[in-house]
Amino acid sequence: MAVLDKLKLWGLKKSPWVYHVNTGACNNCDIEVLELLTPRFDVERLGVLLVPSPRHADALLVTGICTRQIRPRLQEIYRQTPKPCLVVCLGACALSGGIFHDAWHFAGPVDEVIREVDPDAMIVYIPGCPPKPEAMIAGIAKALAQL
Amino acid sequence: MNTDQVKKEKNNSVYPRLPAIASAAAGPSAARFKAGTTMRTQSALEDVIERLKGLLGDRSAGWKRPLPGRVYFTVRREDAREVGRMIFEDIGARFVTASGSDLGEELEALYHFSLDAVGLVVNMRVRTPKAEATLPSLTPVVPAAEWIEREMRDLVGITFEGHPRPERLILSDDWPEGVYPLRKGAADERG
Repeated sequence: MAVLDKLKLWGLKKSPWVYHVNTGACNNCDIEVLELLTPRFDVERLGVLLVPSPRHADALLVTGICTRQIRPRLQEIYRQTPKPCLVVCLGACALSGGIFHDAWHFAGPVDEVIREVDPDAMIVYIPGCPPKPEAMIAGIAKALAQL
Repeated sequence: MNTDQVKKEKNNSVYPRLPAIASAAAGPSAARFKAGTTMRTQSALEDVIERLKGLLGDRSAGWKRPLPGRVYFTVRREDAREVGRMIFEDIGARFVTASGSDLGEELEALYHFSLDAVGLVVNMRVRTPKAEATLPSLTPVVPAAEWIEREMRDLVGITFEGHPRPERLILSDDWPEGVYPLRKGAADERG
């Protein structure tokens, strides 16, 4: 079914629908994600739509350090997202724990958590605390160009 | 007086209050205080502190005032609930939050109340030896203290007697009992 796979990938690249997951963030990254949808950056013109369910998503925007409580739930959300799926680790906390790396509630950086479920997951890393909206758009554009 | 009657009726509800600064038993500047107005003057501040000291009497000790608008004092465990009630109802302060700490030999809960009208933050310190780790809960008199006391129980391990719902609040469901992350030297599973 190479044609169907190509079609799915074409749909993902042309218009990635995103589902936002906050795994314990301070909300700063979440506010910057919200800014992407405002008229100044307006990612909807690029086809990016914020969807209410992981079942409709092409990409997961994951912010926050992954706490013990959310770890199995993040893995469940990843399993529920139809593949091909992009996991975007947004911000220093999602990448490596940021300043909370040695905290008692830290349960692993997001890419380890996702790779436990799917070793071949496509993961995008966008550093920053919080990342600038321009950085987020650039990161996603680079990732989509490589697909 | 009308304000006293209204205050008593409202005390039956869950959120009872008019600020009681306008009561007849107040100090010399009672005539100037009107409920709901801002009186951020130095004299108003000193009046309220004097009134607080008079009301608490010998139940409080170790008064400190590091800034003009901040007072700290220590109360004994037995008096904590009554003093909390006096600050909340008789003075009419607003409960802000509480801080729990591990001081080595003792555990401490520091309750913060704010008198917005005069710009004063009242901090009430209660301590307990680590071996016992129990304090009386302020929730029966200050309903807003319910969650912060649950959080202090989760993180520092202070048991609050008389708390209506002493359940786990912020630790994850699979966190082991008896491990308190904010105690000094709390072992981290990552070493």
